Amino acid sequence: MSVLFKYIVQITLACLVTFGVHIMILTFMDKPLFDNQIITAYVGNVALAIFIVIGLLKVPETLQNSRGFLFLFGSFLKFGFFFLAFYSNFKVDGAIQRTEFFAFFIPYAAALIMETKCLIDRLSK
Amino acid sequence: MSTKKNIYFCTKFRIVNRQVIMQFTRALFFLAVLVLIQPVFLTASGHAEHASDSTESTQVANQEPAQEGMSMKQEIKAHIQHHLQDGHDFHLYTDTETNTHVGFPLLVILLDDGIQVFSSSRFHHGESVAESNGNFYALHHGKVYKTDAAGTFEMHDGHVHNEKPLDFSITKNVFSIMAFALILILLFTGAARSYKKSLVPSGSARFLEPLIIFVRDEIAIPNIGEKHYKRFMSYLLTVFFFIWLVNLFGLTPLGINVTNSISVTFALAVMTFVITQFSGKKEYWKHIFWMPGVPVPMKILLAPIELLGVFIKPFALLIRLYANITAGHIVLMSLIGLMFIFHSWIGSTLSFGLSVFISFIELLVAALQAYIFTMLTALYFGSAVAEHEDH
Amino acid sequence: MEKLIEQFSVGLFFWQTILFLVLVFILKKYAWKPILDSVSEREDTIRESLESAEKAKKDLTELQSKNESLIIEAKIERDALLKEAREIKDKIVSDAKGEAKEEADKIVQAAHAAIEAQKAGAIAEMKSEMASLSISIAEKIIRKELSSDEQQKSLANELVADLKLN
Repeated sequence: MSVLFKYIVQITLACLVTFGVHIMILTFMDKPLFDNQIITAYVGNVALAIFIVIGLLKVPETLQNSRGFLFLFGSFLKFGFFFLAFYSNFKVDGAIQRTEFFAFFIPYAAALIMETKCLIDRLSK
Repeated sequence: MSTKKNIYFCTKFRIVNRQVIMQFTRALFFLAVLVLIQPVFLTASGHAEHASDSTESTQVANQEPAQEGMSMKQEIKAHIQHHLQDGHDFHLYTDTETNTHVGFPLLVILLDDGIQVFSSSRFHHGESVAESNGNFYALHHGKVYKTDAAGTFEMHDGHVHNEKPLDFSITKNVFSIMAFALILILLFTGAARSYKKSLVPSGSARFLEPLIIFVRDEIAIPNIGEKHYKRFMSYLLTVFFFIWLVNLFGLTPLGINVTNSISVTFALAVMTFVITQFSGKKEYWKHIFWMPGVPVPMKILLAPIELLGVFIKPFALLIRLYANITAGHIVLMSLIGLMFIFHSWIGSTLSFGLSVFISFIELLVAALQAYIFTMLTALYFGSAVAEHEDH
Repeated sequence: MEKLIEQFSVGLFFWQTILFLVLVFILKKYAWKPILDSVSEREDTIRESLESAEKAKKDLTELQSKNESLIIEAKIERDALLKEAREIKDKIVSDAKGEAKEEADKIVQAAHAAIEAQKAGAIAEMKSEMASLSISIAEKIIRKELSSDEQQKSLANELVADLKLN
């Protein structure tokens, strides 16, 4: 439980820091701060990352070897999340703008890196 | 390594007894005859289809510009394109004189406004608009589009902008795949039955057994290892024989070209991918995400590359099979087309001879591609289950 | 690439996946498993029979060498027995010879002793006989001769001379 808790805290903290930096950069660039569902993107990515990490830790003994597969599956899940919740909204004006792209991609990348770290941690055990 | 294996593959036939060789030569002869008659066949259907295309354009409104004005080269190109395409009916050839199509219609299944199921005969080979539950559909370049009752296509710079319903039809390729599956099932269950009588193979099993043992001893065991290979045998054998059979039939003048359809090779590659990832052991994932034995910055650099490699490998697999078979068909059909471009008897004879030669090479390629696909699949499975790799 | 994506048909992909999975499943159950099982069974049988043939061959050679060694052993034993018998015979003979010699010696010795004893006895007897004979002679002479002293004296001298001679 404590390991899982540690991971959750790590992921949340990392994403919070990223969010802070992200907002700061947006401020410097004089872009609207909380546009493009940026909050949803962060919350959703963190939630999915935690969900995947829980999955990685709680897999039954027989599926221990398939954790990598679970990880990949989780990535596909995230793509599904992106297409369901963001793609249509981003595409409303016909193209995906840079800020729109980063609004999803940065939290996605941050969560992915943290997840990968957890996976490596688990695999090295 | 692969050439060595191929030589072995060829020589393996020499080991099996004479009767088997006889059987094999008989099968080869049959195929050779089919290949030889292909140019003749295609000549007939080529002319026929050209004619049918022109009738099509007059009947369906807003079709492409009439094709009467096409040059011979364009005509050949169009014919090749048509030959390589999937279709909604099983079309063998068209008689120009009477304008009758030889073949049979297949089932059209569309996911649009519920499920629309009707026979492809309603399209009249793309000549008319099909109506189903108040919706109208028409064919354009072998694809189903939603249209109005008159069959109008909204054309913008050569592309049709009509709505495309999700097409789950039993197309020519789907039908062929079903037929091949049936052939494989009959062939191999028949072979399996012969083992019930005695452990010594008889009948078709005599010819098939060396091939099965080849897949096991030359593909599966060296790449996956003695310990794990058994789990993957069913998949490897099925892939090998499926691709081989499909490739061989692609060489016949029936016009069945399943492996040169990207969807089929994609499906095969996806299955290989999923099986590889799912059977991936701890070691395999560790090699992807945190490569052992290299410094930490290298590990971080390698992780995305390796992860990308996971996807690139099956992608290479699907493109390789698709491209090889399609290229073979295009070369073959271009050579056949050359016969009509050369008006002199020397050029025509030359390209006839060349097309026969290429046909024989394609026979080899058919087996080779099946071998390569199976071999690489086994290699990926092997890397997934490897317990400790040597570096 | 664009053309490839355009060519991609979801329907065909769907059917290929479904049909292929069904094909794998059916072939696995009704073809690959029985075929591979019988092939490996046959291979096992061949290997086992080859192994057992090899083993039989090995056993045979082992048996042969065992027989040979048995024969050699038997020969050695026979030789040893013969040698022993010969030794025993020699010993018996030599023993018997020794005993016989001893016995003979003993007999000879005993004979010697007996002869000696008899000789001694005979001598003694002779001596006593002679003594008594002499005495009787002497008595007779004495009775006849001893009528005169002279005669007595000459007789005594004569006797003494005789005695010395004896």
